[in-house]
Amino acid sequence: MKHVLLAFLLAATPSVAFAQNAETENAENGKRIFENFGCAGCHGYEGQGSRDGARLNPAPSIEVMLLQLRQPRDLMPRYQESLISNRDAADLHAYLASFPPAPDPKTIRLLTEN
Amino acid sequence: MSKPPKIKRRQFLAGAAAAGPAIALAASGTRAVAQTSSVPPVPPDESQAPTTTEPIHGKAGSDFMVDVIKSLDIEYVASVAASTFRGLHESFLNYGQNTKPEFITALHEDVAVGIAHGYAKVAKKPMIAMVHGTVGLQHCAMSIYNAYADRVPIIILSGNIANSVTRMPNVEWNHSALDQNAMVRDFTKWDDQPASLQAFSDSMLRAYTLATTVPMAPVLITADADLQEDAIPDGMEARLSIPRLRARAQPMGDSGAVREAAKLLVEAEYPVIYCNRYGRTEKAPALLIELAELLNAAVVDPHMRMNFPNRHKFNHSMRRELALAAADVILALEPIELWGLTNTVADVDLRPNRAMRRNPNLKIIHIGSEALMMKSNYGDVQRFASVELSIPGDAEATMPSLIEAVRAELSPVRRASNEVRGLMLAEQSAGLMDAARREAAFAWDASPISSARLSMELWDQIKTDDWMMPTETQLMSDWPYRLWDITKPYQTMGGSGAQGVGYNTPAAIGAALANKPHGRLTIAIAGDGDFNMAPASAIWTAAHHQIPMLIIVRNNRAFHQEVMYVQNMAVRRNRDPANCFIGTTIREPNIDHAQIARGYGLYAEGPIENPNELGPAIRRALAVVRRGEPALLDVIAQPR
Ligand SMILES: Cc1ncc(C[n+]2csc(CCOP(=O)(O)OP(=O)(O)O)c2C)c(N)n1
Repeated sequence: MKHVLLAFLLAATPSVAFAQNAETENAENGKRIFENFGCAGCHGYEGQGSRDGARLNPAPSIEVMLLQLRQPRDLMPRYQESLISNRDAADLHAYLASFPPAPDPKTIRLLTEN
Repeated sequence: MSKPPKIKRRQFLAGAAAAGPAIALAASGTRAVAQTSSVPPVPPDESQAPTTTEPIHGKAGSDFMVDVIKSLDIEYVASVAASTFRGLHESFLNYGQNTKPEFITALHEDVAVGIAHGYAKVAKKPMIAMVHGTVGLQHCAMSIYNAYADRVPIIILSGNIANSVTRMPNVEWNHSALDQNAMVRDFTKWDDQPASLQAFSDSMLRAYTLATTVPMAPVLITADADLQEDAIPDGMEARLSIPRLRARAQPMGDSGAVREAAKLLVEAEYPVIYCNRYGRTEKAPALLIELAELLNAAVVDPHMRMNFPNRHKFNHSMRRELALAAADVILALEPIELWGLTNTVADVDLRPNRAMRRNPNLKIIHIGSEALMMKSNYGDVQRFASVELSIPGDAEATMPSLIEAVRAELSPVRRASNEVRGLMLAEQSAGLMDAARREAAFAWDASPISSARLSMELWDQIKTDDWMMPTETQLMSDWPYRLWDITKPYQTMGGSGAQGVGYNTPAAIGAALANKPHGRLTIAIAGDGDFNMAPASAIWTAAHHQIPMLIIVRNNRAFHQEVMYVQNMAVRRNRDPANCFIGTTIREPNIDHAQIARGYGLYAEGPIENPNELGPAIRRALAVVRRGEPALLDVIAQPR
């Protein structure tokens, strides 16, 4: 089902190919969207996730991210292209990919000793 | 020796008020104007009739009321001083020596009731909240509603001047009503407005008994001001009596039905125990551990009470849906949302009802007290659920007989096969802690500070103390329940009941008041929205009464829950979600909670934005708390 949807989305949105072009990705714009559109509210400023939103670190593939934006599972509202264009989505994805990786919990005293 | 005559104070004043204008008119035309306005004439004219009564000799009505209250062994009365109960107030202090109950000064009635709410959850017995007629009761309506929905006993006292002839003009009329109790009748278990001292005595005993019998809830007694203030008429005192408060049993489930429940549980392939408002006393967790271990059953606990240790091998709350989906029998103990155990209403367009993924052979056994008290107006009733076996009764009181019945049903063969299931359950839960630790590492060094980091910086410094956390944790993604070791039967107490924001700080103060004689370290974490919605002046009460506690304001500078709702609405409608911060955030200016707290007399630090500065700040604040005082930290936090 997921693959059918994805195929449909990719076919219906020719700009996805453009969006996937790394050179045009602008993580700064992605940050703007992530914070101003309220994404951080559920997913956390570093994509750590919460009770209300999935962890986005490490970033999902752009295909999975797009699928979730356009045909969300769970309770996330659907973002239409007029709200977040495929180009903006690519920028958003670039920003997700810039989150610092989580440290190994074994290196954090508060997590190992408690 | 003949006693001076007892004069009814209010009747005297009423007479004086009626005569006043005439006397004043005779003396001076201008003073007559002053008499009819709300400003008293100054200076007093000595040619006028005396305006004070003889002092009351012997006992005042409110002294007897204090006798009645003392018979109930109530420790505290939290109150905002007010004239409709000034008789009682004075009697508590002088006649009652300000002990049992001791006066706790609050600066807002919602705080007084919130304190009583938190106190009762820890002390396991009610205290009094005393509030002004009409306006005071209006102020605390939400806190009463929270306590009602949370099934927590509070004795609310209020005042009223029932006799309109004894009301002074102007204000006393505004602070009196025909039936002020009606305002909160939908969310109190019982209320009364006794018309005599004997009736007060009977009603207080009834109120206490009803409030503390499951289902527990707040009760309200409005004490008439004349009855409080006037002397007890000659010869009456000897005829007044105070019924004895005696031990009472709590309602238990029907024994036949309990045996049937035991059979179903013993024969189940994968029984799951779901407990919500189950833990009523400190005995509750041990009983639930016994049952879960006897059955080798998973426990799912949304922690509305201290029900079950979070690290117990059978605690599957962190894999709630997996456990519930696998269950062929669910034992729901005081569940609140019984229908919601198998269904959901999705928060998407048109709000479709959806059946959850559950075992097609699922049978639900329900033991709970919801059916024993229900009122129509507020939605506390929840959606109707039809379950296989419903046993009205207090779940905790029913637990010993259920355990006994399960023991009787368990054959050696069953016991052995259940133990195999127990091994599997332990295996399933074994990885939960490590998984939580891995999750906690994300955004570990972030600023704003992550909820996981905040939780662990605190835990690191309290874990060897005898600690108690009185606040809700859902809005910080439940990190304390995921990472701490919560074992003692008093260490948590769940949330507000009706989600009336402004609960956490006052309730935490009440909890800390109850923790104080035990020397427990109370650590409260309140959202900034919650902290500010209850009057922040609540913390003055903690400072004034030297109630030791650490308050951490988890400051995401928003009513963040509402940020998410408005953002969701905007996106669903394909409109600009960036506007979701308008009306939902608490910025420009940022609130400086540390400065506020210092203003109310607390030690305070903040805003703390750097996660590396949090640990040392907690250490300094805890040093203050360990000295016996309250302290506050303002921590700039991630949204969730
Ligand atoms: C009396 C009352 N008013 C409004 C609300 C709606 N409400 C629900 S959660 C919430 C935000 C609470 O803010 P805070 O405690 O800071 O938690 P946050 O969601 O920001 O983490 C509000 C306003 C409510 N539940 N109760």
